[in-house]
Amino acid sequence: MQIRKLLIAALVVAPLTAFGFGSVQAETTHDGASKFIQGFGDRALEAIANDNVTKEQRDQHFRSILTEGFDVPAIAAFCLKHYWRKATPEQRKRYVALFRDFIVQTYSARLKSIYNGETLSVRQVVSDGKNGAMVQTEIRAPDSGNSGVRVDWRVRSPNDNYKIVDVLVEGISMAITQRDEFIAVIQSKNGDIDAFLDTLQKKVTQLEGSDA
Amino acid sequence: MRSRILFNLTPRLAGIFAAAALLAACTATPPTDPESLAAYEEANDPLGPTNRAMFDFNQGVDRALLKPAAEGYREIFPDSVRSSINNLLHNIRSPVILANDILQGESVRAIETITRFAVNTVLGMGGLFDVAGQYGMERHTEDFGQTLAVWGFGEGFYLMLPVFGPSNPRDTVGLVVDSFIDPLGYFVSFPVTFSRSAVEGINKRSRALEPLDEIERTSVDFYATIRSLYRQRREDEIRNGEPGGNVPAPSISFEFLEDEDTVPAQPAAGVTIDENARPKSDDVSEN
Repeated sequence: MQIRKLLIAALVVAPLTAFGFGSVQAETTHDGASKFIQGFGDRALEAIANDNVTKEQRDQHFRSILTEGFDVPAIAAFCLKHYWRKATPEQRKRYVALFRDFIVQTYSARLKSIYNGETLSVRQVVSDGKNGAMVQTEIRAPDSGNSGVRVDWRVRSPNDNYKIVDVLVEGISMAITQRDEFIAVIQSKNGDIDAFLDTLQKKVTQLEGSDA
Repeated sequence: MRSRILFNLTPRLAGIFAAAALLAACTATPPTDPESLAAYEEANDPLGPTNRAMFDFNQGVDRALLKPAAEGYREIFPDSVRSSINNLLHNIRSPVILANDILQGESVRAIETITRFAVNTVLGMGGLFDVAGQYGMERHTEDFGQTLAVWGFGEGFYLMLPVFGPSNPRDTVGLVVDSFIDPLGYFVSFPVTFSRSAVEGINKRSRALEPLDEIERTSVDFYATIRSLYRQRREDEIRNGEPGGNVPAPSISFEFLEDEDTVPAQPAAGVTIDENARPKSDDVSEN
């Protein structure tokens, strides 16, 4: 027990001193967030690594990973900005379902196309607002030598049940990128949410039909 | 040399501002209701229609020239050669990076740039091999656009430059200033520096072939996605990848959703999540 405590302390303190900021006490409370991301990341990477599956199987697997690890309705609401409040309950329902399909289609293929045997390691965890933490990780390919990809996971834990609400790749927020795109589309439709949903539906249908 | 810089710089900058003024003549009309106006201002793209036209033009250039060149480049040269060319291009940039490290007061990074340049030039055969990187001294980039940002200059509006792509007035000035900081231009003739820029462009494009194809394929609005990616990327570069540097890290608020969790009977305060909209685990999309 003593040794294990010491090991955990060393693991937590080492990256802190290396990066030179954050207080030790605040970090140790985020132990759960760190474990959640490490476990989730390992399983997600393992799922992507599996080659012997059809597109349907891969999408299905990605969908269950997404549901397990992400607060999809919260992200969907965020991406619609003030239009979320303007949307009717029917529009919201249609949108969240479409959003989920869209994310599956987009990221299942994107991750597959760039995956190259990477592994994930947690660098440090910092506080992020109420009930939140930012788990900073590095994803590194086995033969990449000196540079890994910086991936930060914004998590919330309202009831100790961690959910990811944003992923930042090299400082670029996927949620903000998606929101900026959706808002641009809605504005090009003069604020017509139904017209936006039709466009999104068309895109999802197109992506579902493709081989990638 | 200094007088030459000033002499050359003035008409170029004047040209850029004249072009910017011309572009400003054809801007989008801002929306009237306050929330849409806020979203419009957040996009920071008053030249939207003109920028989109320029983006289409750039995509044409990309399809006709840059992308085929990048694909050919990747086909002809093996990974190791392309990696060495990438290392070399980066090593040649070192003086510009160093100048901007110093101008930003980043002494540690300046020393890193000098050490990397010395080690890679001597032990890495003129920069073909990133020996310093193998010993844990990772490369970084800097440019005068970032220096201006550190000095407190805002980005200004989003600006799609012909061929050069996404930018803004601050980064456009940075681009021009960097070309004058670069000592290479004072030692070799224009065709050499032009070739270097062409190889840099092809090298960069060849490293982004699949990701850009994927982003384009999965985008509902490719232009808006690139705009968002560019602005976030620049902010991260200005912060040198550290959260809470000169510019606050991108932060998003889900507070309204948390409020909803705790106070479900008060939909008036902020945005609420409708329970109907929250798919149950066995609902909607779980088949």
